[in-house]
Amino acid sequence: MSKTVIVFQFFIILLIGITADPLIARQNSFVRIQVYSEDDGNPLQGAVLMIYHAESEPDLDYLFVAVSDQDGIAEFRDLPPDSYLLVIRYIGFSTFRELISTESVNRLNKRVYLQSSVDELDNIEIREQRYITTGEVGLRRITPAQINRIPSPGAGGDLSAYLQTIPGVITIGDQGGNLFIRGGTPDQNLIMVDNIPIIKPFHISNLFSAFSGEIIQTADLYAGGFGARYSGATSAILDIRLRPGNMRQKSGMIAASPYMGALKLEGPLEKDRQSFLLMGRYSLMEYTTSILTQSKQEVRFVDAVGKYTIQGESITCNITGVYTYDQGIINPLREFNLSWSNKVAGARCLGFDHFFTYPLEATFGYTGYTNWEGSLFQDSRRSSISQLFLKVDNKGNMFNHPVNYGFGLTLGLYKARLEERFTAVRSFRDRNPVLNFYMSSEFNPVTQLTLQPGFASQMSIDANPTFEPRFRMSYKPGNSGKREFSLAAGRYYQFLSAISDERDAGTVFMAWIPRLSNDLVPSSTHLMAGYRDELLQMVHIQFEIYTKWHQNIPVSKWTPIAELEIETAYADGFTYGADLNLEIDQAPWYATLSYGLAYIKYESISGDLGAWIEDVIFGYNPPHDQRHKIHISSGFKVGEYNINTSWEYGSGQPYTRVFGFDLFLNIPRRFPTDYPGIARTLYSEPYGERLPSYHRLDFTVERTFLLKNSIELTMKAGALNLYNRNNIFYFDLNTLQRVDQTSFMPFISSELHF
Amino acid sequence: MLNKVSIILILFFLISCDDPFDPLDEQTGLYSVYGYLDMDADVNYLRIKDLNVPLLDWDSTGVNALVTLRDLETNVVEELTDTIIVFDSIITNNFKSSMQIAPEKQYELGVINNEGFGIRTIATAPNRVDEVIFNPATVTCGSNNVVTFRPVRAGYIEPELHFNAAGRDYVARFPIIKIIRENQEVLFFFNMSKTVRGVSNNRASCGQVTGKVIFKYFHYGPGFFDRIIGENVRVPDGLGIFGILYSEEFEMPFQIF
Repeated sequence: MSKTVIVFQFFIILLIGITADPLIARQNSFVRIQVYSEDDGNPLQGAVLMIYHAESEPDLDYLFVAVSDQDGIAEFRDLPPDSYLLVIRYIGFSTFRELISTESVNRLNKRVYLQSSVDELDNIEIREQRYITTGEVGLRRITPAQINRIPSPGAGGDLSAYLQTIPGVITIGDQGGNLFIRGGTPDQNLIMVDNIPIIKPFHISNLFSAFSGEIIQTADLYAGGFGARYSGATSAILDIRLRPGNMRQKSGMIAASPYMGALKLEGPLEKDRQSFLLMGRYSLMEYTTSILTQSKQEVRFVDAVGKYTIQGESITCNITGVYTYDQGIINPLREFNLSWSNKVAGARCLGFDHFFTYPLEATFGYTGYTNWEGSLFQDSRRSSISQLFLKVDNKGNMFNHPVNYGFGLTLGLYKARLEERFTAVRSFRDRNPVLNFYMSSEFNPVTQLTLQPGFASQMSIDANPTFEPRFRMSYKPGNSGKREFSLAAGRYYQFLSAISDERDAGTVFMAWIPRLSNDLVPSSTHLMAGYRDELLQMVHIQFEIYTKWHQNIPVSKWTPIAELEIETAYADGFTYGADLNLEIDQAPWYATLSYGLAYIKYESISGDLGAWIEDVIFGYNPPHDQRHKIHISSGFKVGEYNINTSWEYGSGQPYTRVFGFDLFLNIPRRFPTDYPGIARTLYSEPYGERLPSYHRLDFTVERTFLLKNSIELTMKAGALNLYNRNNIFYFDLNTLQRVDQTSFMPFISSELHF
Repeated sequence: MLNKVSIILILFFLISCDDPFDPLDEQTGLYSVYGYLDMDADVNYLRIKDLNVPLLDWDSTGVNALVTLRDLETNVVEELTDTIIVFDSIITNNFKSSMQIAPEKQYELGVINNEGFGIRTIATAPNRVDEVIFNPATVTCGSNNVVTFRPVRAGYIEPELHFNAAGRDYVARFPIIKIIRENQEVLFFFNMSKTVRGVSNNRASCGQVTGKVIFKYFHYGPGFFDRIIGENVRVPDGLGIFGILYSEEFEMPFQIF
């Protein structure tokens, strides 16, 4: 009997073991509340719901508490038949109070609309949400308010700009759209938008992604140690939720800056039932950077994001589509074009009818991605991914404990035309279906301690099933919930990985391959621990330590014949580090300080990692091994003006020195006056040196003017790299010339909200 | 107020300065050398490459070094002159030598920069073979032929057969024979039928050979195929190859039977 059959049978047995809700037998009730905003009719995530005795004083302790999820849903289970007072609080909204009774009903579904309160401020919302998250280690929950604080030359904020402020998130320069998260490479991250995978939504200029702060509801970044719900990635998860379009009134935004134009439209198709949200952006950098900055950036990109939402009494569905296209030349010294494009579309439905003991979530759709590189007249390398997928997530009870479980099926078609660059992988066309399932639970052995064990498994036609145990834990001493110790660990596998040419920072082309070999499936093990605390209700401290072991990472060998071909080898990666985050939030003033310390080393698992010198190379620090990263940002309000600043420092990243450029001649067969020889670059010790450190100060000042008929105009002025530091991007080995990152970059932008 | 602004401006100027760094390790390798001296040629060319100059660097067309060839017996020194040949935008520097090379003598090639650093490598000329004996004297499709070189004191022998079969010219190159003992007699065996089938990949047979059969051999000096090794680093294929050789060819009578 094959392992696949055994694992499948094991999963079926577990599913059978998940029983119907035992509260029915005990005649207790459960109450499901959906919390919406009265303003736009959309769900409110993070509202605090409390259940009191019906006759109790409001100041007394509540009986039960819950927090609404991203769909605005909060549930109370196992409520004895009685009358209760339901109180719902959410910063920026008036407190909701209502009596509810479970004496005559077994299950109660209730929809609540909260009225906004004009006195509340956005930045308080950020602080409030910290109370509601548990087991935060490795997790950064990102809100639009946080995104919009980071100076950005486009209209509004951008998720990409914010992500780069997080310690542990590293980029190679400021172009290419690649994010390295806590030792992992870009292909080891799984990015999802509304539960739909998207391969690379970051634009060729790292300042922008497909996701403006205007359209994001939340973005959860799991830098590691993520739970069983997520699989198919060995480093990090970025789970982006787009907000639904306004259910109450039509609105829009037109924005323009020297580097980008944007248009957003949203509104109801049927009040409180159907809405749409559309946003598109188009870069202008290729036209304006030569005028406004010291160097022209020959990059262009476009993105379009749309979301349709329908809210029923017992079901919510949304259809999401994202299109991105990037093209440009990262290295101005070479006429070498890079392009990539994402096309994703999918539908997600959440059923929360009485029929469902727990809300049932199902997602299906399509993910397409293509990247290519070549000269201006000919593509020389192309790699593409086409995936159809289906995911189902549900809850149940097993041995009186709630169990999250689900499964997914991905049918992938992977194509590559690689020509000469990659020698280990030739052009191919491969189909690879992957089935995955997971199960996790939550226990509270004592009140302050929460344990979340789980496991996931993936299987493919020609690969053995994986066993991926996961564990998360949080301990909150005291009753305030302001202090928390948390721990996360897990084992992760990834059937889909990519090979890139690490030798050449001037290209970000990746050859995506479903699997290189049966024995060499990339995998990793994470272990991380964190502590967070809140002092004086305005100072938030978060400290985390982490380690990751990556196995079977495909890496490029540095052969002396540069730019002709890549030999691949396999390495194990070892990462450890620590992140410190300090936030002071005292409206209308805030400041954050974050520091990241990291150490990354790759070690050979099968002989030589590099053939560029005749010594055997067993280990090196890869180019994303940035030892120190500091980010400081602050914002305050002066009169009608909002001022935001951001300063970032990154220590130098490893690079390989060159000691020669040679033309090899095969003597005596080739005569010097008849043949040029074969170009080869002679490298010194692998990644033996570090680039100079990097730092940059960004600054914006903005003001909003209220025009007639609720039309608002927001004007923003500022600059990136305010003191015009020459931060190196990389060194071109063919010409021995340095390529710098963005120089002083001034901008004035305007947003018209109507 | 003005002072504060000045301080801020100075501070900005200072922090905007760039940290120096040097991605080119100029000390590890200086030059590479590719070429050989043909003892029978009036002029020889040696490719010299300044390793610190990028391939596409058009600003630097010359090699910043003194290139010399020294006869270690007579101590006669020739300063080689540069000739530039451009192949598809790539500049190559090929140094010309007119020194006549004598058998069994040693010559030192020096590529030295202004500071006295560079490459010095020594090549030894092979001895002239006094006798090349063919047995049998005529090549036939059925014969096993032996070529005797006498004496070969050192180095390598590489035999070749040139012929035309089925309307195509072929060159059969045989494995290089390394001279292990000094002053030895070298025997080379070949069978014409096998040679024709092998080199033509069975597209031609010995019976289709027409015209003359040319026997050619190269005699390389000792250490000819040794790579030039850098002092500080070892790289695949070294930093070049430099040696001395001569060649001779003989027309052999050919009959099918």
